[in-house]
Amino acid sequence: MAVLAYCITETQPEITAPTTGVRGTAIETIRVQDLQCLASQFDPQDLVGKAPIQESALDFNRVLQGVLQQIAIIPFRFPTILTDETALSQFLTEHQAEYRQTLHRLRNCVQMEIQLKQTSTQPPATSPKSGAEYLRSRQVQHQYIDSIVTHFRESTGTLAKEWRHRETSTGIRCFALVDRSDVQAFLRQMKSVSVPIESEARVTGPWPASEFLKEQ
Amino acid sequence: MEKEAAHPDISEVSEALRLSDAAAGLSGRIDCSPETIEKSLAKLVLSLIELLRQLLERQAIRRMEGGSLTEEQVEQMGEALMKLEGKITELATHFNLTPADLNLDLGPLGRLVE
Repeated sequence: MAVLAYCITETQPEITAPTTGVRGTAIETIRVQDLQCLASQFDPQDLVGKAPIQESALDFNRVLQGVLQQIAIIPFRFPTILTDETALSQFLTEHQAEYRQTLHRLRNCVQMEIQLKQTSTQPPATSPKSGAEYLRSRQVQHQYIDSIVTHFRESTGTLAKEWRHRETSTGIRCFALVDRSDVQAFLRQMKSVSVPIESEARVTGPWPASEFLKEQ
Repeated sequence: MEKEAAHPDISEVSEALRLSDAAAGLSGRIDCSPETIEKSLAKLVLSLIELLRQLLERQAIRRMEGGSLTEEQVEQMGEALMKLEGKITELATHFNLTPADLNLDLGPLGRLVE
């Protein structure tokens, strides 16, 4: 039967994995040397319809959060489905060196996210009248975004061990790699950061360090 | 402005874990039904053009900042990008697509444009 993969972690005897996963299925552990992958039996028919998909996604997140509270994880994208446990074991065996190195690097770290969104719906006061004016206005816009990101990054002080950001259609998403013991300090720090006018910031986390799986 | 840590809802879970559009309750597939084939193909093509437009814009700004463009070239590039943006908006409106629609879910690679 097909299996749904949740995440990969280092094998630690003191880690307690959640017993049930998506749609109440039992969580199984597939081990390869010092790594383990959590998975559960999966019937694709369970993901037909919007409500089951959303419920399953939240179930999936609950499993990840349950493990993340204890140890660093490499999450699979939902839904990652493999033909059976053998295929998952083979996959883990093939990539074990890479995963081992990544988990070692991210050990004790979590990801915090700052979502910056522009709340203004006002169109620009004037449309660019020339090509040069258009390009320079975009340059100013990019510089403005860079300055906000820099402001937030500097505000994290030494709490952010690494930092990534990217622009989206509605604003900016910033990601900070934070030691799990610094999460509360990070949240306190972020509460004191001023947000630009007509913008709102939302800090969420801790999340798995998905944005930091690859070293820059 | 309010900033707080909160229990995640489906939208945040979706964003943070890079779930597919399907997981967020949206269709990430190209819908090839006769009624919607035009709109679906327009979404695909316009998403790719929008990606190219953004890449070209960043490259143009980098070259402008690097001083490798003459004023005339800045004007020409800016005008071309401005018209391209206008045309994409016009076509998207024609097919009842919003700017947020001009994106593609690439599975494990995430979204086309972010």
